[in-house]
Amino acid sequence: MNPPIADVDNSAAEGRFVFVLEKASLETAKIGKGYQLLNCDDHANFLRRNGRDPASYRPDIVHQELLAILDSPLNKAGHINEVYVHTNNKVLFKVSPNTRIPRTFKRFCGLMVQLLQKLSIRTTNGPEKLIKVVKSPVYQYFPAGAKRVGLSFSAPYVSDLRQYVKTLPEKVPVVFTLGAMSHGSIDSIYIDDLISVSQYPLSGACCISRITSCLENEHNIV
Amino acid sequence: MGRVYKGEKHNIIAARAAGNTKRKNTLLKEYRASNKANAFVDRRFGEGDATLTPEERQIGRLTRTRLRQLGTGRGGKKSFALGDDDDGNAWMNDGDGGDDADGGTTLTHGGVAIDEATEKRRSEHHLARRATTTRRSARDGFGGSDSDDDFGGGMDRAITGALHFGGGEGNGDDDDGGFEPSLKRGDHGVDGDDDGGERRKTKAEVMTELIEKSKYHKALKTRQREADEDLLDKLDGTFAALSGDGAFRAVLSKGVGHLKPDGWTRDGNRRDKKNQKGETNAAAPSGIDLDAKAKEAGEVVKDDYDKITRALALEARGRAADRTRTQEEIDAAEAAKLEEAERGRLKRQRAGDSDDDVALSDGDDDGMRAGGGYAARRAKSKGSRAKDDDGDDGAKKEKKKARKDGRIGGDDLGDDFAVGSDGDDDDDGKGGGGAFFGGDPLAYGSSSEEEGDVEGLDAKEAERRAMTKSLKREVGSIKDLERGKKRLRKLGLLDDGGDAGEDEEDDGDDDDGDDDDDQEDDDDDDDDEEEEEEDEEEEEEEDEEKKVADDVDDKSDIVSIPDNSDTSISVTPSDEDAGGAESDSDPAARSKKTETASSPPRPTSTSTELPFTFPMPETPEQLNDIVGALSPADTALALERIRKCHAPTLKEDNRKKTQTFLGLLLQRFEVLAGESPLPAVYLDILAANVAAVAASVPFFAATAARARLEKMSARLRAALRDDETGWPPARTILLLALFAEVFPTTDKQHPVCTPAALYIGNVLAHCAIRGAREAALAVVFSALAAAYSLPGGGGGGDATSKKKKKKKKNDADADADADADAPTTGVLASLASILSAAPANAPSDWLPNGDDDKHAVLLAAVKTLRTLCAPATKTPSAREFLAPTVVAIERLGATLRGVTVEENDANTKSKTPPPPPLLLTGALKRAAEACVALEADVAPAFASSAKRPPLTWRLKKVEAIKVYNPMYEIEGYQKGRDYDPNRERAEAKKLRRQLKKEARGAVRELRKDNRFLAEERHKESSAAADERGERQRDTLAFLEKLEGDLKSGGQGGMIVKTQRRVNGGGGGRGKKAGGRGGGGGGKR
Repeated sequence: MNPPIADVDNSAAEGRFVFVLEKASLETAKIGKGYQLLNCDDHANFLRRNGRDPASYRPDIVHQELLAILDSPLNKAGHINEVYVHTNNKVLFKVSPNTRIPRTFKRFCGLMVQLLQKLSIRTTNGPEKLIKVVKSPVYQYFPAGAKRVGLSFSAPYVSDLRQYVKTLPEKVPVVFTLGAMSHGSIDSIYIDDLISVSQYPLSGACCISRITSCLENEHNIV
Repeated sequence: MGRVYKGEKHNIIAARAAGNTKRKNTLLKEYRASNKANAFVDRRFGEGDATLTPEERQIGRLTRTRLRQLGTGRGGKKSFALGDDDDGNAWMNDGDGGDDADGGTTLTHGGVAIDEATEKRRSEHHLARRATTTRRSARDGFGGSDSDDDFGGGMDRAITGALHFGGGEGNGDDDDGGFEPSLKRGDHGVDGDDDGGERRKTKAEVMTELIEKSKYHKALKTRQREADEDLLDKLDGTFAALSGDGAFRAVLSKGVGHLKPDGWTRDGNRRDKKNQKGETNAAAPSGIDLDAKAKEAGEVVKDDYDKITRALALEARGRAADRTRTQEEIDAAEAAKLEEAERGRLKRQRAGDSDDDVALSDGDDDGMRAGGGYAARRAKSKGSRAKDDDGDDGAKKEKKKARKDGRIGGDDLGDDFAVGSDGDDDDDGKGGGGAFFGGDPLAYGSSSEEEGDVEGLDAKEAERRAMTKSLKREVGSIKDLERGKKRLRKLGLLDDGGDAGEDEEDDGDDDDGDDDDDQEDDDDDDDDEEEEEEDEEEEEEEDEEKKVADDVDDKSDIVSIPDNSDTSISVTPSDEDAGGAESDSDPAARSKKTETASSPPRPTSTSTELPFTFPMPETPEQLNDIVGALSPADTALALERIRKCHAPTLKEDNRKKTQTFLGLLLQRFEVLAGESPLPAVYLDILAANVAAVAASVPFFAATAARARLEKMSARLRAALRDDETGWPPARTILLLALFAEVFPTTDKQHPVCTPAALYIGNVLAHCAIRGAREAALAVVFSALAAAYSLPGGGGGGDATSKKKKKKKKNDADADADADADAPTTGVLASLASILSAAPANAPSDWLPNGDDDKHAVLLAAVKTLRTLCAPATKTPSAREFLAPTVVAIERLGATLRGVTVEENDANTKSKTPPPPPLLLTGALKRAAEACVALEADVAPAFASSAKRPPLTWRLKKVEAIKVYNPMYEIEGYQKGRDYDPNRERAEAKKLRRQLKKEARGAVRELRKDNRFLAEERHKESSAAADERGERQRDTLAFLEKLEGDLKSGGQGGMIVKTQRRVNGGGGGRGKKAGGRGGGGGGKR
């Protein structure tokens, strides 16, 4: 029988973790009547007609990653400071950790279309902006003295994330940068540490869940 | 990518040009006209009408001009009274065929000259019409034949009417003999263009036409109706002729049997008359006579059909059921039934005794038959009778007494009857005899006669009765005194102890010497059986007497009792009066008691001989009198009858009586429960009755029970204080069991059950188990606790633990401890039998009488434990709750089985040592089985609770961060659209935006206009300036020339020197010009 869970106040005053999703393929186009978020399933012909590669239009990756980050217990406990998404079109927007990302992909597309046109999304019940397009570069928004960690399968060495998390300095903000694209790798200039968390190439959402679970372990979040 | 630019169609240059032209057309014109007072307005024909083509306009203008010319010409001609020939020709030349008819000189219509103005209007109208047709034909090419139809040979009537004065009168289409009024007011589908041409009818005309028309139609209708009736009459006539033949009717009735019969007519007289007429004509006698008869009767024949119809209509559909009887009514009915049965029984009995008894309404005999003071009473009654000088009565009395002494039993009624019939000459007697002939309670009618007769006694007798009564009462009071003394004495003796009964008997002897004598006589006279029966009888009579006494006390009158014995008894000089009743009945009761004590419950009589009605007992003795000597079945019957006779719903004070009765029953229950060989059967009966009575007086029952419980607990406290074990006696246990049966144990807030449960809990908690007996008692109490707690499902913890303890004890000291208790228990299966068994052990004659009992108790313990465990197994905490129990049970089971399996253990019983323990016998075997069953019961609860997660204790609930829903359009976002959910606000916003946009546009337009105007103005001014400059130049040139001329001295500026200087090489040219100029100047 497990011992009763120690009652620890897990919630941080302000989160110390920042996530950056690079190379997100979020692009809108006027198809038919209104604007739509381009994805490889629905708009393959359109993309081909316009001379694009349908395989690179994968907004679902961003959707999954955002869900993985914002639905994690780590976020519920208030440890995530902000999430930034950098699109292929050089649009940068930040997502508040209080956002409830739409569960269905279609709705997520609607949200992104609106965001990319209006440049900000408010809450249904408040004035504050949940998602907001901000100016690049992204590193100007990082907390002071943050450690910037890039995650890529192309990293020179594979590190056990559990061990790695332990090596992270206490009370220092950490920025995790991941790709939200189907192919390629991140090439951000601001990264301190480029690591690979698995011997296998992982999907973005899987990688994020690894990170969050390790951090949850660290912080005794159940 | 993928973007569609909207402005592609939008040619800016073209738009600007358009704007410019528009300005030129509007603004510029206005500007030009701005300084002018007059304006040119084109009022030529068709200029304002944009729909007309220029050609049409031209044509229109031409026609107008022509018309004007014509009009003026005609006017002139008219004024000069010239002929119209030219005019007509002119029309002809126009080629309009439609107007041929009225061309020429025919200007009269019906001898009336046609108005010139009318003519003119019409012609004008046609002109206009022609214009349209030509327009049309111009559009269609020159076909125009379709439009010419109206005017060509196929002119329809409307046009003729309108244009040709109705086409004359000779239409000749009035072939229906009358006129066909027409209501032509232009709404007949004639072309709208023709309206103007038709003469409008005045209102009066229209109205008259309307009236005439309606009259005409009415007349038509009347004629039609008359024709129809004629036809109908004819038809009726033929039908009557046909129906005159019987054959037709037979066929008809067979074919359409369900139809209305012959006599049936729908409407009255006319039809009948017709029928009669037809009848006479046809002269068919056989078929019509029915009709004729009906007509004679003046009514329609009614046959089966009508009858059935009526019957069906009046038939009752349903019937109301009897209403449900109330409890009161049920009780009353039962009581009445019992009383009637009793009456019948008594009648049977009485018939044997004598008819005179009833007839004479002399109750003395009954009194004499009663227990005490016989001689004295007899003397007194004699005296009273003597006072009354009723010789006859006396004689009969004597006779009857003789017979009474004979003590003839119920079997001998036959003889008695003979005697009665012999000796009686009274009509009452006859009634009695008759009653007997009936031979049974059926003879109620006769008895009622009897009653009537009795009631019919004269007032004198009644007076006499009253007197005797008062006398008796006095005597009674004296007697009471004596009795009281006697009773005191008796009590003293009772205190002494054992010889009370004897003393009582002595007393009885003293008192009732005569009675005893009588009895002795009886004994002498009759054989044993008879004696018994007589005794029985005597008892019954006594009871009745008592009852009557009670009734008298209560001033109540049960109908049955006056019926059989009231007269006699009310006259009876018996000393049993209100006060004395108790003490009076005492000796008898005592004697009876002693009898019963000596020979305990003897089933003396069958239930058939039991009286049907009983007085309500008010003392234990009375109750004992009624019940004491009866067999169990009879006891049950008697108690039930008592209850029924005195149901609290029947009379007001019956409730009080019932309460007393309940008290008595409880008391009796306690007494019986205390007896050493437990009369279990009687107890059962009593318990059933207590329950029944308690149901009718619940409050009293609860009070009584509570009083007893308080006493019990007080006793328990006292015992515990005195350091005794405090286990209560059997009586208490039985009472508790009784309460459990009487009151609802499921009620956890019950005035009785709750204290009772508390008491049991106290007993189990505080009473020490020091020996086997106590252990057995604890088993019993645990069972009781189960009875109190189990239906509710909860609780029982205390009992369980106690049981466990006890079990352990049983286990530990095993049966070696000589667990002997319940002596009677053969079967301990049910709780009831446990209880009935337990008290038996209680009487403290603690006989360790055998293994069987020990085993039985063990079995009972295990079984009770199982019952108690049952509810606990359902609780989630069953594991914790039952753990010790299970351990104990396991050990016990192991012990029981262990004896079989293992040879010797530390635990093995000394008493079942080497002998083949494999064969556990009887109760022990079953105990072992019960152990196994119990374990099986508990096992699932244990299994389920094993999976239960341990409890955790959280101080604070973890709170997640707040989550907000993003606001976005699910059905696609469109930029620029207002997604304000507040529609009004959105609309307002939109309007504001539109307004602003318009304002901006207006400003822009104005600015452009200004620029345009400024340009125009500039153009004008520049033009003016140019013009002015031209003139100026001319003038200046002229002036210069003049000056030059002057300076050159008339040479026209042609100074050679200057010329040379000015012109240089080209002097000739300058010369030439100058010469020219000079020439010009010279000209001027």
